Amino acid sequence: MPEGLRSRISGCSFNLFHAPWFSKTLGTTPAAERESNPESPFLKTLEASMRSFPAVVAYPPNQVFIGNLDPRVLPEQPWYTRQEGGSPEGPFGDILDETALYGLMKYSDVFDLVLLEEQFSRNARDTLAALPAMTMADLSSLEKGVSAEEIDKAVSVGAVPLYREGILSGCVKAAHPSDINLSAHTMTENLASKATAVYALRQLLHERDGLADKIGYIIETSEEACGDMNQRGGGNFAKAVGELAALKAATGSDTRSFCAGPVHGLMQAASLVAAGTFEKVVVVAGGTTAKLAMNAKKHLEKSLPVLEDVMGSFALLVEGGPGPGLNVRLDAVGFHKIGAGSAPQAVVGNLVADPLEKAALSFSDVDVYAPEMHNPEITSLSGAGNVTLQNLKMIAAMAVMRKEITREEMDGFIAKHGVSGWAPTQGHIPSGVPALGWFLRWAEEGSFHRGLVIGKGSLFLGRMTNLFDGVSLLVEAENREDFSESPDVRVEKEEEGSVRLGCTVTGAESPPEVLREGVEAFREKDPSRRVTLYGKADPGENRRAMERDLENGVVDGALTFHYSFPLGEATVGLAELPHTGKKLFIATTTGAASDDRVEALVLNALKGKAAGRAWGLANPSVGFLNLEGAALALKKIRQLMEKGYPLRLAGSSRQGDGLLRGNDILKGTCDVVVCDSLTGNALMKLLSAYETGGEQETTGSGYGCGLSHGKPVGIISRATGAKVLSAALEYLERMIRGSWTERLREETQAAEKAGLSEVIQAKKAPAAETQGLRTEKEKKPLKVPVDAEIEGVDVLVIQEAVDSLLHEGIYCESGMGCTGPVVMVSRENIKRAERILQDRSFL
Amino acid sequence: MDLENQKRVLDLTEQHGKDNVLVLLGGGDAEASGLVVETVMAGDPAYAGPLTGVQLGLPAYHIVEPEIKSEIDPGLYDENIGMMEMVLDVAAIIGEVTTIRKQCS
Repeated sequence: MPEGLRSRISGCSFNLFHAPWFSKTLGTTPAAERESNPESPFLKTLEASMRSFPAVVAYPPNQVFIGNLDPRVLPEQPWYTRQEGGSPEGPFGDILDETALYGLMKYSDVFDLVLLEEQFSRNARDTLAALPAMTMADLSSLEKGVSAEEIDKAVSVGAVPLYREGILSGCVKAAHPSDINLSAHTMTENLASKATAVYALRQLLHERDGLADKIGYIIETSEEACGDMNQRGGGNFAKAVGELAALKAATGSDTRSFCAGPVHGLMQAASLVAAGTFEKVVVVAGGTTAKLAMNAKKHLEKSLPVLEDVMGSFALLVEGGPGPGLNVRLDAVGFHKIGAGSAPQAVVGNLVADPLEKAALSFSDVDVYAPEMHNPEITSLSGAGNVTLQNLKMIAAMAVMRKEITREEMDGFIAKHGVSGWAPTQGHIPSGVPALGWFLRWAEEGSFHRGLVIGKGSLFLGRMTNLFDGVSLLVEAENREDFSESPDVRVEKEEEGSVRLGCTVTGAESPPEVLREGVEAFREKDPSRRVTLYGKADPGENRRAMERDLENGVVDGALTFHYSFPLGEATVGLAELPHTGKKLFIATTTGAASDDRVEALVLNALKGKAAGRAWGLANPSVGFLNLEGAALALKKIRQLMEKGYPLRLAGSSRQGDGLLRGNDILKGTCDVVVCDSLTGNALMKLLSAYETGGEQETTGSGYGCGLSHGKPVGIISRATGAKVLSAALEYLERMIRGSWTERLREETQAAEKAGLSEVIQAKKAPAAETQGLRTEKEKKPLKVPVDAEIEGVDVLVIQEAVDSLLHEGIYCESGMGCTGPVVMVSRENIKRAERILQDRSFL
Repeated sequence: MDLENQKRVLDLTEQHGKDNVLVLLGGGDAEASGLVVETVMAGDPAYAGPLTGVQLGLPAYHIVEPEIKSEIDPGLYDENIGMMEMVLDVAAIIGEVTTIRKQCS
């Protein structure tokens, strides 16, 4: 991009306002019905079809709008059935109720047109005063309301009533006795739009000290018009909004182009900044009351609630200079030309193909296309189809026309380069802009490089022209290296405090939807959780993205399938036992702590204990599964314990040799079971997938984590179900929060202090002592009946143990008992044999 | 069908005569296209617009139908319609429009 043309979107605010009363009355669909058919069944069912505020908050697309739910992990529809969950506060903004909305209208009213009832006014003041975005706002106009009688009187002469839960709580008066542009209805529309915009702007600025004074220009991009009979759309919402957001140093103006207005505004803002006219510019828009309940007739016919019951608003900050955010490619702006005609092909050509060509990019170079981001549940159920998807299809079809992809690749292209829409029916609000919140987030997380924001407008609705309109902007994530030393970024990271995880969602046997469902379930428990998804089709690309994020500190840990750790790293799985549901750490399940089996088992015990401690167990009990090498490893662990290494050993419920049997695992006689990784892996799979006959893993928390680039990488099976994925993310999060690496370092240090290195080095001692003994086999003592068994010699050294006894003149044979290897001797020799084996460290 | 468009069709027909008017559709939805065909042939089935009870009997085709496509220069067609042909459910549109046209003939 040419030098000088630099401006970036560096902040955003997206808010929703629950407006059930306006939906029933000011929405044009119910209003027109009331006018033409006041007794219609539609109006009768409308009242009972409004959603509660908790249902509005719980609605997944609304959670996406305010930044709590990643649109890439939106659950399957239906969404409207969700009645609870979610949070009214999100990283992008808030969902506010009707009290706050009316309060904001009063706050935004400088001509005393809004009257609020005394008690309601105080409630509204308290509600607003509790909102961080309203800090320092002068709420004195809400201190004292008016009497109910006064409101009744005003309504009786034409004021628009403001009801809240069936109670008349206020009204909006006309600003002129006869001017239709200043009528009570128009003033209500304009004040609602202004109020919601004011909140968006305050929300954008309140956490950025001193920024308000640096904003030079405000571009307001809603679809309303303010003015009187002599200048219907005279303006200026921008300055009116800025005044109440304390932007004392700014001026501004309104930009209109139906739904395309915001992207036009953004293009102008970026240009003003790049030209140096203003250092910082904000683009802002309030919501619309007219579009509330717009498709309610069709929704109610299908027995749905009124889904278009919220107003939306947003504010975007555009500034110059280096820093985090999204650079606007002013050298490659897409725009619908007057001479292009309104055919879809011409529009997509102008808005998608042309800017890509200017920037010398291919269609696949854009990570995410953001055309009209309408909530598909709202549009599909009203018969308009999935608008976002239709737009993405057109873009994919254009890529086919340009011979960049084949027709068969269209679906794959859409899946890779598109996301579902989520914005409510608010005209200019859905048109591309909502994606910017997520683009900013993904850019910050490092999982996003380039997006195309497309705003489109239906100019013909104004009956001035048959033309269509549209503007598109390529935005690119700022190269993080450019500002890695920026103090702002450091502060942001320090303040974060939360654990940020990455998660691969493609390349498994389980479909990406299932895995995304798991991520969503994880995030639903705590909406502040942040998960970067790696969802490219190419597993190599996912792996590189994950490693880059781990290395750059974009994520604190990541979850993936099939990762090769270096020798030394081995993961501790967390299974859930059938019957009891007890959690069992399986140390280990992937990787290898050492290439020596016994040494690996000893180290696995330390790893298992460290994982248990990081999980929160003060002193987890550790048992060794009865496997090859386990007896030797247990002996070494005991040696360490004798020298002061603290460990709570768990034995078998049945056998006295301290080794666990299969039933001990099912009984959960210990917290941590030590085994080799291959065995542990098989155990995890058995315990996790038994419910589905091996088809999918449905219980447990995955295979645990190992270190890569100094950060934990958690492992899950490619047959992981949603529940396990969610649990695995929690396990990983808990390992990070519990300082798992620190716990492991402590265990290793304590073991080293107790002589870990020497104990491990001594591993071949028994074998060394018996070197050459086999050559003396001819001196073998006379065969006698062997009727006694010595247990506890590891199978790895059983032959050496036998040779030792033979060398000492004791006839013996090796054998395999039902629970492990045995040395068989005669009853007469058993005590001496045991002593010899003990002396030579076989026991 | 949009009331405004019904009026325009009616006005044009009155101005030029039934034999000189053909209604060419470009909408993306099969059902909606069928409704337009019904409206301009047999009258507004919703009994709402100016074509209520007016049987214009106008020929009505969608631009993706072979009868129309074969009349247009392939290069020009591809340049203007090619992309949308990939996006629309062409088979459903042709099926619906053809069925309604037969019913109304």
